[in-house]
Amino acid sequence: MAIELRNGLRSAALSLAFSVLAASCGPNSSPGVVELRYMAWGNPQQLALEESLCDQFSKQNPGIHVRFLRLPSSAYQNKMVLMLASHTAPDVMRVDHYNFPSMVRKDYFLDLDPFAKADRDFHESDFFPTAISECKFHGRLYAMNVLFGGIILSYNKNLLHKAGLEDPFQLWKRGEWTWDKYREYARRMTSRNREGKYLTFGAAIPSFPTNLLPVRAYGGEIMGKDGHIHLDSPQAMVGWNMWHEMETTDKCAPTASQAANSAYSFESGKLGLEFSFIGTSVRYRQTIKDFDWDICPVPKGPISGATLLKGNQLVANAETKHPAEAWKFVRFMTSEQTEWLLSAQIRRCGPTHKRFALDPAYLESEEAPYNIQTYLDVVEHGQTLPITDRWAEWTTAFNGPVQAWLDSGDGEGRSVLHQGTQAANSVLDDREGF
Amino acid sequence: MKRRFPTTSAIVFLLLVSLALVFVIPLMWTVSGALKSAQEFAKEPDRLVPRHIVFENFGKAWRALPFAIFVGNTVFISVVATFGQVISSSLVAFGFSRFKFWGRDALFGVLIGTMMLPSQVTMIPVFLIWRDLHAIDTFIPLIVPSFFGSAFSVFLVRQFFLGIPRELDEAATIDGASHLRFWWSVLLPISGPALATVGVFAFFANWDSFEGPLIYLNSPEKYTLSVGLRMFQDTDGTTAFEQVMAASLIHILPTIIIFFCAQRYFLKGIAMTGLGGR
Amino acid sequence: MELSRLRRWLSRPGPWGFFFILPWLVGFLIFTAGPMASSFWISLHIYDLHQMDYVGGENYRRLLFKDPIFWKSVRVTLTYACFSVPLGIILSLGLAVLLNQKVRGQRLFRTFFYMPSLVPAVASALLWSWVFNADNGILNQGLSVFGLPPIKWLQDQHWALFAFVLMSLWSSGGPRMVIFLAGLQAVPDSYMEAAMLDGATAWQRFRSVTLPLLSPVMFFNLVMGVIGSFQVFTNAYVMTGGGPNNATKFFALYLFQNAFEYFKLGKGSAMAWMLFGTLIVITTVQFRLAMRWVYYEGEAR
Repeated sequence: MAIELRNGLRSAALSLAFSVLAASCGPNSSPGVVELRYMAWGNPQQLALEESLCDQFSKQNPGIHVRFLRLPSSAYQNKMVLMLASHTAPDVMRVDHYNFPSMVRKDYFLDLDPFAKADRDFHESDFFPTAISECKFHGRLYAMNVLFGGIILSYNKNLLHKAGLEDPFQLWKRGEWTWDKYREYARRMTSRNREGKYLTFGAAIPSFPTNLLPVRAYGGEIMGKDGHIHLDSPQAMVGWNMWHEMETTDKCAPTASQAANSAYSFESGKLGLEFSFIGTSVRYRQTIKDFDWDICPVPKGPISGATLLKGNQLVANAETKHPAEAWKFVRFMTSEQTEWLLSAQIRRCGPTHKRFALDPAYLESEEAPYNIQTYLDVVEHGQTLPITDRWAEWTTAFNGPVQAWLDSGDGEGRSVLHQGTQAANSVLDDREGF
Repeated sequence: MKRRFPTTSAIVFLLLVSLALVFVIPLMWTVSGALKSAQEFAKEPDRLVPRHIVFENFGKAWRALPFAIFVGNTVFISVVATFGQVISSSLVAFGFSRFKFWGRDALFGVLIGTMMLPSQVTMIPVFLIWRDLHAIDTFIPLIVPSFFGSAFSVFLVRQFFLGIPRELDEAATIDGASHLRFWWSVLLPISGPALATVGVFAFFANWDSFEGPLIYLNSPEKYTLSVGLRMFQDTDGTTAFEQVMAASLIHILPTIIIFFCAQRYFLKGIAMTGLGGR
Repeated sequence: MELSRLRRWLSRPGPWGFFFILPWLVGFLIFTAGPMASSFWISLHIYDLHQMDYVGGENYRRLLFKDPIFWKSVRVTLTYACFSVPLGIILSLGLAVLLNQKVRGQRLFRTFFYMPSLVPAVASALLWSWVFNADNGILNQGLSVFGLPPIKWLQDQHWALFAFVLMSLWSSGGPRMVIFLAGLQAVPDSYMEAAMLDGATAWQRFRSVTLPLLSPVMFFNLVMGVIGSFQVFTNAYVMTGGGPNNATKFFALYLFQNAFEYFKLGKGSAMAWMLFGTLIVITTVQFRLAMRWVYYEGEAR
């Protein structure tokens, strides 16, 4: 009897001890540990990477535990809006740069300026100015740039050699990589078989806003100081017509229907030149095995040779209960060591730290892409799109007719651009909120 | 029944085969895409028969995310929600079809009307309610509403109930059965096919449901298959299409099997349950 | 005395009917009525999730008189409904009638026809871009067999909407077929046998026995089809984003863009209420008309 009772007591005590232990292992119940919620989107590889970063941060900072909320990219905006509206948003979030300007105006994000000033290790001068300027609102720091980058040009070296063309990266270094050259390259890298079926195309017509590159290069202006869209100006028309003619008269780029379903994708080896974001290198390294490829900066025109920037912003929730920890985490996610992993090792993005530009190890690459200097051109000279809070709306209005013209030749160029521009301006003229 | 001309059934068969081809061929492309290596898919996405069949995409997709947990969550939510929807819908449909009461038709109109309000506009207020009930990041917002009956299911079951002759009710009333007993022991058994139809629809709807799990769940360990599947599609990074297809097949395979097996029950025919022979 | 009054009250059907619909009524009052009221309130404001300004009926007025895209989306949606609903019902009824015969492989066929509806949106978007590919898509290959010229399905603003109609036939054919099948199986054999004894041909039997008995399910498919066609969203969102040139700017898509991409919740709510109102009118008309052609065996009148 007594033994039985004692055994019973012992097992009860044991199980109690276990349950206490189990409870203390939970992230919430351990006293003094702050739970920081971080939300981001991405494909499974990207999310796995960020999760390991979160774990690393939690390990380095025993007082903080990061809980990582991961979302599919196509639904991120929807969920974030809902969370912000219901005051359930996480402490730190990644925001697309298309949405950042409209959201920062609504006071959703924490002003990081005081934290940056108090942080002795933080110096704005360590960063490329382009990386910082995208994150400011009314002169104050509201975010830090992550997955920073911009538009680059990938090219298929095999097709290049076949056409007997010089490497465009060399042309760029001599300052000769122009839009005229680009068009010529595209023509010469296009080939057909005897029946007239296209074997390769020299170039692919990019979509908005990448297709603005030649528009700006020839002096076209997206948004003027008057806050109006000027994409139908004569200078802009030079760029627009170039795309249209490449498709219709040069026939060196697939039409939208030919390009559908990635039949002439860069990865297939059937495309010579492709504009893309830096991040595509990650997949190209995996899928491209039977031809050589590399990257180079975008061509230049008579007025400008600047590429377009595209980054994401890491922001803290204005309502966070742990602002100091949030800043610490933001700093960690945008630190040199994190960026080294993302930008130097897997080539997922460009650098924000100036120091990288001087580091030979950064510029060295053991597999394609080799021309890492392209990244530096992006972050040093890239320009920001005039993203205001009605960006999504006016670009949709603008692109309706313009895309139909570019894709299937509906309408006449000048009048189509005029129509699209007017549609965009009538959006911008309308009272906000309607 | 007299035997039919063999030609008629041959024509029917041929017609069915050709229609089935139209319905299935597009899917075959998904299957073939999932069986191509990343390199081959990049090279020839439009080729229907892969040059080399590989199964690595299924493994890659499965390992990329904790799919086993997602499957468990999805099964749990779908089963419980389906159960709730079948029970509640048949009760409500019974009320709407077998009784005359003040305001019945107006209320039924309201019920139909609730299907017409786009879910996007009530999303925020409904979310706020669940937030105040502290049900965010639980399965509750995904399951509990099913127990209040869905308009679609109520409408469908009502249509079936209306097709069942009134004589049955009268016979049962003469026998002295209460309404609840009539519902349970007479109406439910003979409406097996209708309930199974509703059940299957409800199950598939929950299985596929994306919006609800997306907005109400935060912890990855509570995610469902459909949320996981969407992660393969990346709008600004790069999408591994061959893995999207493999993951899609993982997503739909259970539902195809369920449909194949369940149709026996929900399409058995009412003759078996004693109504047809009358 | 009191007890007998209660018993008398309970013996009437009214309270019981009310009792049975109670689960729905409670759910409706909590999760639908309140949110609906608040969305109506929002529709009288301009609201960007930050500031809320009362503007009265201005959202409605601007939609009706100043927004060409709104009217475009109305036209797109109506055109789509006019094609996809009748065609879909005819197709799925045909499938159901064929499958109601005793054919070999019946279960397999049903599964085949149902499968497309199970494909999630992500996969179906990829799949359709392959089917509709103008250059070498399977659909154009099929057309060329009949000597027809290729069509740029998703890039041509005159064809894109029709491509969506085809998709809807493919993906909703199965579920509708199942509903018809379930209805068909409820047609008592005795009715058929009686009609056969009277010497009715197959078509006559179908017209005068099957169709009337099928009318409740037909009505269901019709009402749900119309409602569904007014709410097309995911495919348009994932595949075309409303293009080319707004040719597939469905009403629900434009609504979503306004509410969640442009932060115009007032406008989005106003659109929702206009859609709601329109559907109520259409459905009421359908129910009125239904009295003439839908045949119920067991309705409580």
